[in-house]
Amino acid sequence: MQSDHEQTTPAPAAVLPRPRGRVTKRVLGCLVIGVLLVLFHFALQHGQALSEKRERGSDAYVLSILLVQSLKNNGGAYPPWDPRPGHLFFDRAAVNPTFRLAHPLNRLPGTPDTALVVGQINNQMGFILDSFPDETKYIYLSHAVTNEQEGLALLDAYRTAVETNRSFQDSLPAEAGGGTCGADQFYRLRNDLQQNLTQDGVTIPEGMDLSQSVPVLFERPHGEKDKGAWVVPMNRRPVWVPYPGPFPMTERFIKAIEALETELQPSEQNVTAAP
Amino acid sequence: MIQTRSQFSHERYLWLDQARGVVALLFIVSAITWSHRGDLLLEKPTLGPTWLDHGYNYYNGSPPIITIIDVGQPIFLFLVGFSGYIAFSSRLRNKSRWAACRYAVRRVLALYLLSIAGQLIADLGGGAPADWRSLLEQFNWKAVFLTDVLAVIALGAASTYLSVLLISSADWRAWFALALLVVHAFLQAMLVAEHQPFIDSVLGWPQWSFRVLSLSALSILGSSFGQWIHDAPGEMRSRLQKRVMPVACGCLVLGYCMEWVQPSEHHGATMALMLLAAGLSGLLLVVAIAMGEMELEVPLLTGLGRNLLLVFILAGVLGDFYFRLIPDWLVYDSPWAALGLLGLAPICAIVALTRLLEKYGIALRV
Repeated sequence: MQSDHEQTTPAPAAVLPRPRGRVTKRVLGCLVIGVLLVLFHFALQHGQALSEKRERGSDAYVLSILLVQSLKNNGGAYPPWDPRPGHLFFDRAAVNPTFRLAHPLNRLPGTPDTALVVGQINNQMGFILDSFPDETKYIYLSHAVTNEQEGLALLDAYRTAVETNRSFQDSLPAEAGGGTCGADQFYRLRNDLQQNLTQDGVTIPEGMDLSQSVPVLFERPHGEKDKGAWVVPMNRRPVWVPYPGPFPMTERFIKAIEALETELQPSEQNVTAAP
Repeated sequence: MIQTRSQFSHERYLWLDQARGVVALLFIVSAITWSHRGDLLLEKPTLGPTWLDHGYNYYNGSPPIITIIDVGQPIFLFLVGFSGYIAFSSRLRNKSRWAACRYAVRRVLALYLLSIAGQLIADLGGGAPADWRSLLEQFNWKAVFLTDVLAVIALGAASTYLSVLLISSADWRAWFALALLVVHAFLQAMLVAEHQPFIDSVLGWPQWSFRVLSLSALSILGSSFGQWIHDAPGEMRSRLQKRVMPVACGCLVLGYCMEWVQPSEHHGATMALMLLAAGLSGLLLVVAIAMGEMELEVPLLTGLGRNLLLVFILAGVLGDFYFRLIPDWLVYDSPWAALGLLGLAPICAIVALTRLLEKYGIALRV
């Protein structure tokens, strides 16, 4: 005879067959989640690549703000080239050393100068760049050029200036009609470049906007699939230019710069051998 | 429109007003801390409790710092969906589909009108424009229709009404909201549009503030919670047990997992932040309902919750006018002055006003 307890005890749940539809749903759910996770992994990778590109653009822009700050201190002129031969970067001595660079935080479009800070913030050095941006990543032009031909001629003028110990503070001479916009010289980059050219009777090609066409600072081409570089023209709005592509990202111009640097920069052996 | 208590078109839950009151309080505090957020770059310190201020006011980097204030707006949007469902479905049920749609359109338009008015006040505050053309040129259309707080609420409300109209099942609507959040997570991961509006616009990045997508998804999810709770008055405990608690906890767990791959971020309104907000909103509702069952009430919160829109407008006005009157030297030099003038006075004034309105049963609604 069975006890009351035995009579009322329900059958063990494990014995009951599990509904097939429920299992199928779970398997399908897991599959969907798996597929989503794999796709999300690729999406994150894609975003990471773009993020690096954007970070470099942001750095180039911050550098351009530093240049603009120097315009105020130098009567509207961009800083000259670094006096060390073969260093196509701006002369850091010409940039106000009390300004340090920061990533653009809480900055209003109308007041970009607030990105330049002095000292620490809340005692956290993480907010500002400790060291100057790696200048080997960038090429700076202290004189105005608008196309590859002018660019190559400027490199020749640079070489000549180095050989003759000529200062980069002033305009550089060019062959007749081979300078900025067909002038006989390479004009120094200034705020009022367009005005200077017009005063000297230099014809600016129709439709050309110098603020967009004259490169001031640009990165060396980088990247694997999407090779190119951020170019900062006079209007300070960085533009991504593919490599090879339009000036200054033409193969010929970039190779000419690299050749000039190799030619003029003293090799490490020479430097260490020097007394 | 100003309504008296007898004119409400549907039953009002005291516990829901309590929950809304908490969000209203958070909103006032956020307006205060925002007004004195300082400037990282100029070494001007932020004022007020750190945990009631946006994390990015202290550190604007990656991964971002998230505080309770960062979930304030998402919780608000969740409650927009929650109460939006109750208001919309009661019209669907008691009147007609046409009446419900008319209500939805009126409400969304009113929110947009408020958004336009707010932008106009802000523009005119910077000096009267020379003529109408220059005013139109200066006018920030994107903010008014897409990114401004009121615009986000309008879009959240619109998506709630539309989803309730098209998807009658609360469960399916919740799945739909989750799918939208997944889409948003992909868009965010692939950097298809702006993240840091200023630098991204400088770099020519595509500009579309897709945070409205995730915030709208949260509103839709809120409408599911509304349906689970509102449509089963006799089965409240069962619904809380079977739907509200599991979904809220599930959101918290999923949000925690997402934090590892795509952290919470205020401006992007990432999936992790939205899930955190959804989870917290669910728990907030459960606590509010439990308090209601026990007949516990915080009287200050009821008035705030019933006049949420008014609180919203007053907090905005505070930001534009009251805070400008307070000299910086006073609040920066004296913590007592800061506490009195910033920390307490605005809250006390708004609470007193809403209490007075509550006493006479008056509520501002659109």
